[in-house]
Amino acid sequence: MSVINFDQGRCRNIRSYLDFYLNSELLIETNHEVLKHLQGCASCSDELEARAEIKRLLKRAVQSERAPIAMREKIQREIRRSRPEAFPPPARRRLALAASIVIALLLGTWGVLKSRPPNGGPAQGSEQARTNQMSETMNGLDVGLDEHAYCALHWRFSKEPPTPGQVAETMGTDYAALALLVKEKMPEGYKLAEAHRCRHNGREFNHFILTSGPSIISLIITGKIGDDSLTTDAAADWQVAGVLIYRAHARDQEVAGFETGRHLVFVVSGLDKKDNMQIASSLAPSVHDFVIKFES
Amino acid sequence: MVFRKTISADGFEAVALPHLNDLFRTARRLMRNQADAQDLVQETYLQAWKSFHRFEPGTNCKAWLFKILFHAVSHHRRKWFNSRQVSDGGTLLEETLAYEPPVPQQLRDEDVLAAFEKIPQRYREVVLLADVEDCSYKEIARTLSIPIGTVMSRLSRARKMLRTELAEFAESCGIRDGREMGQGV
Repeated sequence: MSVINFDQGRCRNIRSYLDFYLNSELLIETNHEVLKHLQGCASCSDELEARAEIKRLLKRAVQSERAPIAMREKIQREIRRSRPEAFPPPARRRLALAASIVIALLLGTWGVLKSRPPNGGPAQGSEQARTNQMSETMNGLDVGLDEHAYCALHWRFSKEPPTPGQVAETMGTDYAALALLVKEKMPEGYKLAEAHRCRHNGREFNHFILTSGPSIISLIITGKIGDDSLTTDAAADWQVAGVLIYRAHARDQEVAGFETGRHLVFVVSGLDKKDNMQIASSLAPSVHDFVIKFES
Repeated sequence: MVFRKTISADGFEAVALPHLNDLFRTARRLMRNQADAQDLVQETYLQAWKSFHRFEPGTNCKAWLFKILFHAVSHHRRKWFNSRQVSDGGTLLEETLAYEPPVPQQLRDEDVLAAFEKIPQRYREVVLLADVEDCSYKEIARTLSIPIGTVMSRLSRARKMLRTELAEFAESCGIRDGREMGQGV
């Protein structure tokens, strides 16, 4: 008893270090000091053992619990239903982008100065006007373009195309059948990269994404809201098997669209006007029939 | 041409979902019940997914997820604290901690967890990170956005509280420590 009391201050001092000692967070000198004390003090050694035991017990107890399986599935569903927020380019890239814009402007100014026609008329403004006009005449086709830009261009698809079973699981058996039909109607080489149902801007989209090399094509089906229509005041650009197809070009993407009584359907890609329209025409009759059947 | 950073749900799931159990266990010990813990973890994952473009591949994904989790916890706590003036209770505990009780060895998981639950939440946080997740003090400081000195002082107080709780529990149900009682310092 007297021995312990004699060393009481020392023990108290050492015990204040014990937890840090256990976690190997002490300086080498202090570590050595604690170790030396422990060798000669049974009471502090017991204390150390007890603390290690508590740590072990707590770890075991906390880890005895596992996340419910349903929870993992729920999180996966939620992730696929929502989108990441806007994708600002990382700072370094932003800088590079700014630099390239500056260079482009300089080159452009130089080019304009060099090629300025003798009469000095402005060569640029007209291009800007044409683009503005284009976005004004999207006539509802922008709905499909937005969805394509959000889902198809932002995503990196898994290597494995979804199986019909997986499509049926996420979108229902009707859409699984449609996926097979669509694949048949697509030009050689395209495979289904993604099939999902998602929601944004108050709309629900059924979205197939097909890829062939670098080409990405979206087939998008969405229910009409209010008096949605592609036909308002534009003449159809194409007609196939009685289906009127409208087209527009914006943001480097070509959009073709047609409608049924209650749905809008879009084919969107970065292909040129002719190729995108060709694919839309090849898909339109069967997809139109499918949607009509679906509606009735 | 379209230049965009490609972000995939598959990629996110591949790096983030393996940590689900760790996040859930931690959340479960911080929240009052299983449902709250599930909500918290789900909120964490959605938040992580939304800001996935800010995650740098190759860095510690688990640490990143924990930071989001604890941010959400402190957010909840602020709301809770604002609505009811709950005090830290620190000074009171400090006084009762002078006595270092011996530690019983035959404790069941649920006994340990029940004792752990009695410790204030902000003390539970540091213990979970240090003793269950084996984080260094530096990592804990970063995760909880508090100075490293605070981490250390909270940790030693938290461990003392846990020891006291466990000893009291053991005493109340007659479990005695294997060592001789009353010999301590």
